[in-house]
Amino acid sequence: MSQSPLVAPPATATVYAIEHISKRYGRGKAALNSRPANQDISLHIEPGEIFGLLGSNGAGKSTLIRQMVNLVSPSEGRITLFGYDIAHKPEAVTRYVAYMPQKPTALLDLTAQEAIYFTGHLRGMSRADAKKAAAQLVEEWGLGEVRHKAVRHLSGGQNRLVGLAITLVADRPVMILDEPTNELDPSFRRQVWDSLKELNTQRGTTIILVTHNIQEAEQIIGRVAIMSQGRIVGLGRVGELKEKIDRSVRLELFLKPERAELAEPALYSFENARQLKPNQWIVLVPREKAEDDIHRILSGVRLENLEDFRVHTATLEDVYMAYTGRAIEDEEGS
Amino acid sequence: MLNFWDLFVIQLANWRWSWPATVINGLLVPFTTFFFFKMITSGNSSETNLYLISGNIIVSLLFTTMYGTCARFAFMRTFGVLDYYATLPVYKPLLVLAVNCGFLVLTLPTAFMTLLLGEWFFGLQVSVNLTFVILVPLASFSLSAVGAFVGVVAPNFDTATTISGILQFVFMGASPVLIPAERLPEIVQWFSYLLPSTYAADALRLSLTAQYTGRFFLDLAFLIIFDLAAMVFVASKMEWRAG
Repeated sequence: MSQSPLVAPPATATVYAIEHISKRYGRGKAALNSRPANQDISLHIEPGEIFGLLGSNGAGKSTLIRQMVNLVSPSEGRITLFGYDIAHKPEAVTRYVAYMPQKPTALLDLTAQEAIYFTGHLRGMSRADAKKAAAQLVEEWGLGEVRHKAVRHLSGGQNRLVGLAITLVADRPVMILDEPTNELDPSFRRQVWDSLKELNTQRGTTIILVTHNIQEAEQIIGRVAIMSQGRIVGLGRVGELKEKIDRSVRLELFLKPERAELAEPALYSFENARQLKPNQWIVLVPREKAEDDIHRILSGVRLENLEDFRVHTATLEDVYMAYTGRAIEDEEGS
Repeated sequence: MLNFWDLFVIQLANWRWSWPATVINGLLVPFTTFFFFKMITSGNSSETNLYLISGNIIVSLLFTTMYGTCARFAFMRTFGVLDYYATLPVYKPLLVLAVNCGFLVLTLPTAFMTLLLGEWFFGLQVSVNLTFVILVPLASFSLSAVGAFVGVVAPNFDTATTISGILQFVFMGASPVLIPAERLPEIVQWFSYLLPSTYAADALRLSLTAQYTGRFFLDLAFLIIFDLAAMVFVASKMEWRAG
């Protein structure tokens, strides 16, 4: 992407400073009696970070994101963006932040290219630059064949790509993306992560991601906040969080359905073996004894009973489970 | 102004594929009204015919502009469309103006067609001049402002459109749009002074007969002040950014 940034944010050590944010919906007694959407959230986001926000539905992620783009005011606390208190200087958000909501419904009757063009122009690009950027983004995201089709007539995945292109146009120094890879096929998901990484590396764009796609996001996220029931329950660099919860090596075993009965008795005998799904198990072994333990487990389970197995260190999903007590895919199904 | 043009074009895009149906629907009410009155009455006075013509212009504005802006703003609030604008450097009153102008473009053909139909049905010669061209937008904005207000403050989309639907008939029946004020009950006459449709219909009638009296300018002044105040008021009530 070859767009020049339009606005230079003030020199500051911190992009977002979120201090003791809480939110209760409703008014008066109803607000006091309601479960808070988020409680006493504090965190800083530094320039050039790719920051992830993980949590189940109802954890408070969307509320926090909407507070960060000033669509919702906190009941308590303060949010500053490049030093500006966004409650008193809401224009700071419109100048410095590009926000991609989960469902981009605003521009349904525009064509894909028009939607990108108008957003760029509304953000302050010249007509010529906005037109050029729109044409470029349409090609980059594989929307060339549908550029003149109304957004409402696009598929879910194409809609998502238009939403992403709208967020990327005009090169804001901060981007907040809510589930950017929903409904995208694997090749486009890869392209999204690669593009975000490139933006971050080449332009220093600060990116804040809300995602359930932990496994893919893990590859680009630097720091992460894990939310549960409106609170941040874990915060830090991905590697640090993984080391905190577990220095174990994870052995994932996929049993052949017809031979599972032969393998499972051996698995029950291992202390840290856990069944995730029918025919899918994980065993956590200490890093220091990983080689011997893995050999012992595989010998006990026997390779001919396995469809597949994988060996890796703790994942972000493990971190999520450790902090919240539940798998994120379980949360999605509930 | 750059902002306004983009916002306006985006609003027009909402009608890109549905404008023929909206224009036709907007014409159906005056057409059927004219046809009905032509069939059941004979030898109407020119004053009666004038009320029918000018009144139906207002009625067509009620059914397209007022209802349309109400539904549009309610939709924008309910389905997250305002979130898009709220995170852009967009001036709120310009968005309100752009939405209203979008509907005006849609209803202008309806207003002129209603006038032509009325002339054809009732053989009435009316004076279409610059003031008429100015009055139709002013009338349209006054009614769309009411619709916008309802759309912005109603708790949900269904409530907004229901209230708007009721108001259409209140405006039609409680103001001297289709019949002279003297035929309305006295209490309704007093109430009608609060409704912008009263001034819009009166100004249109006076314009079509080239009667530029003090009353005409009073109607014009009311509409201009009402439109400006309403636009600012609706923008202030439209909650899209916190703080």
